[in-house]
Amino acid sequence: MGQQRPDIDDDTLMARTAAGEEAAFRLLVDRWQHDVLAFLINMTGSRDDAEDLAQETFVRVFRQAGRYRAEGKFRPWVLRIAANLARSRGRRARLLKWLPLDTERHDVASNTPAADRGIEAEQTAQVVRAAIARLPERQRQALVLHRFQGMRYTEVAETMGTSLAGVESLIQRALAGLRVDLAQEDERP
Amino acid sequence: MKHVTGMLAAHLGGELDPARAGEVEAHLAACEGCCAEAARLRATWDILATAAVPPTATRADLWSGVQARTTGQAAAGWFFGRSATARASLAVATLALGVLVGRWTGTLGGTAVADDDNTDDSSLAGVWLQDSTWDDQASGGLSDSWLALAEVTDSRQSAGNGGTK
Ligand SMILES: [Zn+2]
Repeated sequence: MGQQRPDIDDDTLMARTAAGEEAAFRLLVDRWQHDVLAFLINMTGSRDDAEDLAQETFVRVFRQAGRYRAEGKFRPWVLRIAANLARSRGRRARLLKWLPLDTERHDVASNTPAADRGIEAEQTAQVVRAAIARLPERQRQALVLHRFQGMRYTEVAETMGTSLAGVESLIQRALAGLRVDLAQEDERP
Repeated sequence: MKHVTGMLAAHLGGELDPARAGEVEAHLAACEGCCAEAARLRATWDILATAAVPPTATRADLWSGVQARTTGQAAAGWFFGRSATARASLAVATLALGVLVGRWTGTLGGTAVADDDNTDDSSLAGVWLQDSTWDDQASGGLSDSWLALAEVTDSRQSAGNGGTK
């Protein structure tokens, strides 16, 4: 892949991308693809869906590069594109009466050998992922951005286009909802 | 005594300012109910870590796929490169389509997507309109959805004209 140039900031790379410099765009993809992909896997529960959506995300980054505002907020910007794509796919899936993440589509685990993590831990992870998948869309998004992608509330608010109080409320309800959902899971035989 | 259950997630995430964090801690020391809820939420918070897929766990290299889909395309906005008349007619067509889509999804909103969490901070005046509001607030510019629809319109035109001019 050659020389990494982490010293060039995202805004500069976006300006060069808009000017048609493919190498700059490639640096952006290299820099952000894992974050975008992990976010989409955490949102959709499907590695295949996530890879497809992540690719589409970067195609849109490229197409919209000319309208990107250089304010040092590339990450919220790119994750918002990813979130919009995940949401429209989830909505379409529901309209077709598929669950966004039912048990047979739990292919996330397949990339991590069960032997490494322990079968019991993997089972727990699957139960938790299924509960996350049952959360309302915006609650899930806020929670994933904060707890899994490590975003502070201010960054979640930027990504989701909402207020700090809105984020606080979404994450509070997400966590409380999961608590109830997982407690019911424990009571199942 | 004002309970603090609504602040517990922010407390766990270290997102409360010192004044509110102090308020929560003082309350937890005195209120059994909130204290028990805090313990349950902490357990949930901790167990979430088991389900996370961290960025380091993704090995895919997206570049070849992305490159295949972007090579030869202009990165800058095609929209603004067009004549004012073309932009105006496109904008009208897109707006009309947006209203239609808004109506359509608004209807669906009462049934198929009723589990979406639309009560928070954006009212559901059609999913389309919700998207627009969201993006406009955040970027102050054209919404992603708007652009996405504009792209659809563009590719239809291209198909009709036998290619982009
Ligand atoms: Zn209390």
